[in-house]
Amino acid sequence: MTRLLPSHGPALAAILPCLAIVPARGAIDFAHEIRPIFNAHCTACHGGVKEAGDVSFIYHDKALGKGESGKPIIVPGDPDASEVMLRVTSADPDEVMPKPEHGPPLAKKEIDTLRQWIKEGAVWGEHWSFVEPKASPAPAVKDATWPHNDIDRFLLARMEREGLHPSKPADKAALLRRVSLDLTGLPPSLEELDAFLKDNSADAYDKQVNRLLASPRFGERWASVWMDLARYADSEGLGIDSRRDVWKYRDWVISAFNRDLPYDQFTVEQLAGDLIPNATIDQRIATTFSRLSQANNEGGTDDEEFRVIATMDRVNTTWEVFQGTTMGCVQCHSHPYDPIQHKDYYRFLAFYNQSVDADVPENHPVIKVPLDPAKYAEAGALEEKISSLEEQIFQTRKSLDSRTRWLTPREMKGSSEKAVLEIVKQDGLAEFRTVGNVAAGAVHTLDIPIPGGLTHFNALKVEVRPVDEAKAIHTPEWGAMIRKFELQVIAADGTATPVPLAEIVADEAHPIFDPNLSIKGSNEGWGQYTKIFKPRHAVLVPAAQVDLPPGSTLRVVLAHSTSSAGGAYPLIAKRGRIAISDDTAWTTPDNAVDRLKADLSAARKALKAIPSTTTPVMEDLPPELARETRRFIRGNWIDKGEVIDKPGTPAVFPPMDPKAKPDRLAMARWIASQKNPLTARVAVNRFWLELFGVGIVPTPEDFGSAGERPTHPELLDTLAVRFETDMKWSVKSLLHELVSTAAYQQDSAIPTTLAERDADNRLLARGPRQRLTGEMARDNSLAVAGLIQQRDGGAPVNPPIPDGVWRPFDSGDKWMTPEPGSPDRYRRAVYTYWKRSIPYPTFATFDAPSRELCSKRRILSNTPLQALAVLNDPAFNECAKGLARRMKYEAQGDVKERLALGYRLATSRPATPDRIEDLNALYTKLEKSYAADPASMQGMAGTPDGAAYTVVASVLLNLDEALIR
Amino acid sequence: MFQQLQTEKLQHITRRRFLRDCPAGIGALWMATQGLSSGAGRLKISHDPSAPLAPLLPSFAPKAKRVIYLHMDGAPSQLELFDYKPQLVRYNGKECPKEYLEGQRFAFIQGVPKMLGPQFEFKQHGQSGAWVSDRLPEFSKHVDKVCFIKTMQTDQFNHGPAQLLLHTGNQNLGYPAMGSWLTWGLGTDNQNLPGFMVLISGGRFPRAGASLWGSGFLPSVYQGVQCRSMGDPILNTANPPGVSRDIRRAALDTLSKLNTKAHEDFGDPETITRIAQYEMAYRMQVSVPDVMSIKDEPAHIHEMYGTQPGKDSFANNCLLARRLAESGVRFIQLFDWGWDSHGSNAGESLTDGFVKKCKDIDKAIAALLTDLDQRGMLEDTLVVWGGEFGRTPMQENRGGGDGNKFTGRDHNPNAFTIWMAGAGVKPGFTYGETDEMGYHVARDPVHLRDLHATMLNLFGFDHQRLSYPFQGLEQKLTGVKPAKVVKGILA
Repeated sequence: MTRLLPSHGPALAAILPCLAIVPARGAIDFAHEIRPIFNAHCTACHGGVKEAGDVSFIYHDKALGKGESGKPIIVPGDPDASEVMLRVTSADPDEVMPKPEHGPPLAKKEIDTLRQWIKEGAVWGEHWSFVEPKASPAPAVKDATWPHNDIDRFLLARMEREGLHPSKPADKAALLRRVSLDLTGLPPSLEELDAFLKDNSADAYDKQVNRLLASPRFGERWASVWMDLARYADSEGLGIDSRRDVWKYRDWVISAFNRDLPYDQFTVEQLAGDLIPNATIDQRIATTFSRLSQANNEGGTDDEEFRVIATMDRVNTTWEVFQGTTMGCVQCHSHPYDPIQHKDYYRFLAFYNQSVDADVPENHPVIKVPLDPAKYAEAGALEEKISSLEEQIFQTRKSLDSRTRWLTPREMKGSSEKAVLEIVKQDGLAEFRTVGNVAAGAVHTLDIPIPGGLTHFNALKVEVRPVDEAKAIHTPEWGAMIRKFELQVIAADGTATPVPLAEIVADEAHPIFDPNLSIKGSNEGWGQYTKIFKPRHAVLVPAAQVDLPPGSTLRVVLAHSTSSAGGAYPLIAKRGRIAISDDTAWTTPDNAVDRLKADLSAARKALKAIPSTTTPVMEDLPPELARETRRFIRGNWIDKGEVIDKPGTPAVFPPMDPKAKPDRLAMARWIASQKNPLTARVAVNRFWLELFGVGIVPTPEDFGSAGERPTHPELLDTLAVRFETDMKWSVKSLLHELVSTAAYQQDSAIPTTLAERDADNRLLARGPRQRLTGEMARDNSLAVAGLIQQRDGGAPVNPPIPDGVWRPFDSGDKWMTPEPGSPDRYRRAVYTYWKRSIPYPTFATFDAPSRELCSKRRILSNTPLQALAVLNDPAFNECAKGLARRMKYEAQGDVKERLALGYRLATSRPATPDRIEDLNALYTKLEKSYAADPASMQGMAGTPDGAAYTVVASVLLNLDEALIR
Repeated sequence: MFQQLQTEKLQHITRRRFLRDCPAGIGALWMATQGLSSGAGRLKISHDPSAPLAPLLPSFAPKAKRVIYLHMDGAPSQLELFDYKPQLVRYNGKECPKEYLEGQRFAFIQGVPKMLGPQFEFKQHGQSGAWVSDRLPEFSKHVDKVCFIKTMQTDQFNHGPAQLLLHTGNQNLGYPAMGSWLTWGLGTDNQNLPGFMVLISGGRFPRAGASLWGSGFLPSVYQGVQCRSMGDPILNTANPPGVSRDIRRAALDTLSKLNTKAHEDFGDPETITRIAQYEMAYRMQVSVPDVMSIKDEPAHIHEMYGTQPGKDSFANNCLLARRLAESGVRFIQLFDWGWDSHGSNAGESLTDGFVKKCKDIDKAIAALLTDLDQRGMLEDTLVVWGGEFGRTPMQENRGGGDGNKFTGRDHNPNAFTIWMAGAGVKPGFTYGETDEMGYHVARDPVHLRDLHATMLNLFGFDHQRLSYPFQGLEQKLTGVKPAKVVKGILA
């Protein structure tokens, strides 16, 4: 039969002629043979997006249903009674499916397959990657000498089936270059090369692999890979793209790879490290992963809109990174090809919808992270203590609040500067509301008759409510920010006596700003910043009990912040109530609370003393402040559908642990579980792709039915299972095994026959030959030039950048290149400041994404701009000078020997005599030319030989062999 | 000689692989999986990997060969330039009618704002009688070359997302720009220059930055190349100090020799492509500074445009645009910053900053139209002018209250004016009409995706067929919602 595989790129076609894979089998397999027919011919109209005639071939129950026509679509065991068979075989243009204008009719073989499948009982099966992987024994191979391990046996069996033969082993120098760049992102030094070439022991290669895996440079290399997926950038993106301190997360990733944090834990910590009981500071830094979504602090942007966009980005990124599944389309409608329903998206979004962060410029919530990792434990303990003390103080106050008998007046008078107030009775109680426009800095003055005949009071409660409470719970309104609270007792004769305030008690344990700032006056005090979902309140505690003489009234002044959210939206209370109480507990000194406060202040001081940076983290709202999650109709966040009562994972996958509370942590554990059919497959495929240049699934971004099928399904599944079990999710073990294969160690030369048969090297009958990544291009040149400076971690650096590139929208964001000779000028690429709107030119030119969103695969290009970069970019020019110095000063002997050193440094290979002749001819010509015209060397070198070596060095850095691994 | 033969043989292999990859390859395969017949499905776009920018033919005869797109970054007020609303004069200073506010979201307007009448005098011009305000006296003389669309609509009302939607068809990042789609679909005529070039004036970059000319999921060779007013006109086109053109040639000859040897050793077709790219880089180093230097333009041209060599100005960029168009660049994208007339400060007000911006562009645009016309290039060059959205007929009152300190308008995605001139569009024509306040469309709305469909049509493409499979979807410039070609403006 003709097998039609969905394709994502030009790669597949190249190999198609030799991919006629049809393992003979008795029964028709739905996922392998039927689903592709449906996807090819039917699902555009009868799928997840459109269900024309109420018929869908995505879902089992629908396909076995009747549709609008009332005729059974598929009758298991009876093709002739199945409407689908009548339609695909019909000769009537009005009846036949697909409709003639939509596409050609099914091929005879497809019809036969379909009929046979129905006859066999129409057994439904899920798409291969939605079913748990199972390990297979390695297949038998004819050539028993070639394989190093089972991976090779799977690969060789396929090659033998295709009539291909593996290539000879790569020479040792080429192999060490390949494995060094692949594992650490750096070329081998000449000493390392020589040591390996001299080592004739049987495990010589294995020793090198272990050395590389143990190198601190290993984590830096793999962090670069992960940072594309995590959409890591040092700026916030979108409107202003200001700098954002998140580099502690980058260092966490580097360290996680270096200490070989098992991939399942690596996953759980990034998705839900904050929810792990007794989370360490490290585990909380890991959650910066989710906070790398973009923020928009452009003036006039709606913080809720961009909170929602960030939340959706977290859903999409989680699925793309860990599940290799595109979820973006399910925002608006059910998945077009895979059985994931629209509602599934919002059930999953509910895991993320309780995060405290809400697109405010302060990046709240953030944690302080010591610059020195040795202080993490100390700082972590202090933060834990602070959080727990705040919680204890809050709980004491909350419990007092709930015991307090609050009296709300039935009458009130109100007026306002910069707003108009009206007083209405709601539930029999007085309430103020604004009418019409409000402006920033509005000052509400509320005059309240004393309720319940109180003769004194000990606390006053200010309550702010959304105007439309039912709606605000899922689509919030702009909140209020109180600059200053003032209380006055107005005596019967009109004399006003100010009431000194001792404390403002908020209705949450960890408010973004200190509410007590609203006693003295501050634009950042008590309030809802910047949105209000629910009624909120603060309790104002006077310094001492306040007498209320007969005939007196109370005046409450709410002075609002004079700055607007995003420079546009005034934060003004639009609706609220006042209540008072004479409960003396509020004004009675409480030694227990005072002790807690003293401890809190001491802990804060101790934390402040540790030199630190900050990083934004995940943190969930307390239950009383939880938002309501609803489905968005057609993906529009303004247009809310039904309530999502409980977070959950799509039904097509094995369920979450039913005993676990369905929160982000449970979701993370569900992803990192061996039961999850995708996680290990996607991970194994990704690491494979980095080493071999093409994944076993060539579309790492899509493991769904629109992606390509694996070239070696049993191998992928076996590796996935082994990664979870034998290797205990150890990335280093996985990589060790991959680079130990005979396949990896083959010569990368491409015989003409193979170039035609398997251009993309999917069958691995030769070794991989990949161009350096953007990061490697820089690091390799720095290393070859002897300039590279190795230091672990730290704030982003600003290496040389061509003039005129750095023109940020946020002019405060400066690029400060250190002077020549300063270490930070020569750090590895992974430490370069990564601004989303101004990508570092070398990286962008060499196909690095700008990392606004998760990027699953870099599509390599080969452009003149790359040539111009390595030839002329000032940073590469500095490397050429460095390499020239090494040729001139580090080598012994004549010019040819110096050129040979340069060639070997740049390519790890010894230069052949003809190449040395070519280089020498160039060198001689240049030296003569510079000697004849010394002025022409200006700005380059002091001597003709130095100048000639510099130009030759530039040629060496631009060699094809210097740009590949 | 031997080397040349060798190279030809290698190129042959490369090309053979490419040819085998393409015609019956993935195009047909993908369409089969998508249930599309080849008559109505995705176009087969395939490039020679060693010359990915070589010209290709579109599906049907094109009217336009190249675009000069003048983006006024920040969104100029249509109510002060082209969309004359006498009723708005009467309403000046009155409270905005309620029906205008219901269900609307604004960036900065709070509560009930006041209406704001047009700030400048309008007159009819030319044979066509097009209304233009007195801010564009030079441009007014050319209205008979121009087709106004008064009823543009967008979905976004913040700058960043709105600019992305305009240039990439999607408000999110990561989608190819119009220029990338066109150079991917058509290649470009001059192999010594990039096919998609970007020129920026006004002192600041657009908010969405390089994503506005990014290639998204298309190969990066189709991304826009930004020309610079400081430093090299294109990044890294100048040799380092001490490297003359002769020395570079000698170095490249050696590099090419060594790379050919590497190809003999490894047989990698990418090596052949790399050799070709280094040669193109070398040619670009000459042709780019050449085409980007306006020094040698005659005095009357400088006079006409108001250009001053060495300055960072919109006028200079207009002249450069003409030079690039003449040199065969497919898509020339200009951005001019400073049109966000909120009234929050003098520079961003209708009475001050806006007046200056109009002066900056008036003469230069008139000159560009004249110059293209005189050279016979307006026939197949499409000139487009516009912002990312329009502005409200209400006066902005940021932070609440009656109005900002200076006079300005907020963002309006519901209706705005753009104009097109040249290749295949009706000259001296106005399409669509807004309501009496210029706030909503009264008839003939044109969404951005309709603009995209129309532009592709002018280049000989059916917007439904110029697509690229990515993330399980046939991605198109016009997105997933239905788009239509605005036949009414086609000549």
